[in-house]
Amino acid sequence: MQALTTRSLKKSFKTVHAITDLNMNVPKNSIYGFLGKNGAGKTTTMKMITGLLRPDAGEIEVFGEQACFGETKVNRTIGYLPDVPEFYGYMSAKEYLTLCAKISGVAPDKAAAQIKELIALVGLKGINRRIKTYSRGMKQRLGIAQALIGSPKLILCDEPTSALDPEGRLEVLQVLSNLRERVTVVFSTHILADVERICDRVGVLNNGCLAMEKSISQLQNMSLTGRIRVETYDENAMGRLLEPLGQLPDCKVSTDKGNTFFLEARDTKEAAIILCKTAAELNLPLRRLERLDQSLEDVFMEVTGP
Amino acid sequence: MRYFAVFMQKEIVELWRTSKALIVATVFVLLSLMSVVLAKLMPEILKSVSSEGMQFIVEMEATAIESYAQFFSNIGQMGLLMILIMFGAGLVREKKQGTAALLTARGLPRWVVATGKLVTGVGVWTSAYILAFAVCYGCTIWYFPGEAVDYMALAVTGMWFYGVMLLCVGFFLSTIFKSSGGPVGIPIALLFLLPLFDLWHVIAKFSPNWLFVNTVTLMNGTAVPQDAVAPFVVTGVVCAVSVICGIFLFGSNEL
Repeated sequence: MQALTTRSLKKSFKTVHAITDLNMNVPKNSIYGFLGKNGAGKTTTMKMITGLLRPDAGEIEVFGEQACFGETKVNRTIGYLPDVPEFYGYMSAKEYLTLCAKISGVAPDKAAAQIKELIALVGLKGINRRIKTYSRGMKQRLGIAQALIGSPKLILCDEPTSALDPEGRLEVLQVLSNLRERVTVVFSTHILADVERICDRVGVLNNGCLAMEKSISQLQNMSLTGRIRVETYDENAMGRLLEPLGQLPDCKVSTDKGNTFFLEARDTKEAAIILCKTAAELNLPLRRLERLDQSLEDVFMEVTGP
Repeated sequence: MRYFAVFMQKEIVELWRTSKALIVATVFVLLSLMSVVLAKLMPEILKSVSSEGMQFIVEMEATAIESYAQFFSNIGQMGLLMILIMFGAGLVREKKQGTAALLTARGLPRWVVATGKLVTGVGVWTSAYILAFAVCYGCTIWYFPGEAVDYMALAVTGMWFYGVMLLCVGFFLSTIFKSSGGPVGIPIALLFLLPLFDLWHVIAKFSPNWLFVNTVTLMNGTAVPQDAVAPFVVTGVVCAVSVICGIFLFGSNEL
């Protein structure tokens, strides 16, 4: 069963088409990395799922139940952390979480225990202090705790690590990672290393639709365009070495620094064979020949384009 | 109703922690005391600055009605101005800051947030008004014993209802505007512009402003309760329409 499905989702703001045709499937109990450039529509999508924004067209299903704008029953199963969470500054973290627990219908006797557990889980200190005295990082931790109150089945986190220092980031990622197999997490971010670290699946939002949706392992293994680093002893060897590669489709030199150059090719294996043969035939010894692994960043840049 | 009770608990904590309740109560009591003192001392003050040609002013006497007139003038202008500034845009602030979004995304019904903010504003206005009037009433019967006043309850209720209407209009505007300017500014503008419409007698008979400007005429018997029926009905209709439209519009607001 899918935890979250969107079908042909559309949303515009006056002349800006934020979401044009979003079809997305988030498997149950997975951690789903939701990637996209600034302004790609990640926050808009999350707000539509939580019923805060009205879609122009399309459907949203959360655990098979239709989500709609405004008063929507699926909110009972969703925990939401906005990109910049805002709380009532005059309340303490404990009071705010108690308020959230009451709204979520958590029994008072269970609420206290759950709040204590969540505060420990997110590592929030100074829970009796007024929230207005909190740093952004502390607010982010409180935001995660409030999203988890009431044991929701789906958690939507909009850039949860963007305000945190490296240590805090790792802790938050660990918190989200610990939720694996218990709840479904949809996690939007610009920090690709975070996605590689904890996500099971990745969806890349570009031009208002999902440009790619794959598991992390599929992504790492996919060879859209591979890169080869070539180092020679002779600075003038490049032209002669590259001549036979002209027969390969989508093969080009991306960087040229004297006796080192980077080659981009769809078929890196074939390109490497041709390079070695040419080098042997022309008696041009190679100092180094290396296939560079494609990072998520490379894939992201390739999918979202210039 | 469970949600409403939870939200109102939060509102009460907000009133207490931000000292809004204390500030309003203090200002209203001070305005009230000032009204009685001014009524008592005004003839003396005028006597001290009068000259031969101003003899007619000195003949003015301190009365209970003068005390209540000062009270309605102070509370109806400075008091209401303060209430509108502090509570007129409560809903807009919740929308703008994103605090309402976090609670509604959790499942808090939107009508609870909307009505909760309105009830808070009306509640503070009502409590502060009752407190201020109690102080004014106590001081007035102390300083001006034995003076009878007509239709006091009607006059007091009319003024209160006028304030409620301005808050309801502010509430409605909060669901249309994205910043505090409209929900605060327009009711304040109404507070000062509505009296201009009283230049037309036909409008004046039905205008909600009647409830504000005729408190004294009711008390001194110049106006009778029947005259207040039409303004009360019009004010009630404005309140009802504002609240119903406001709740409906807030339900369709994107947060």
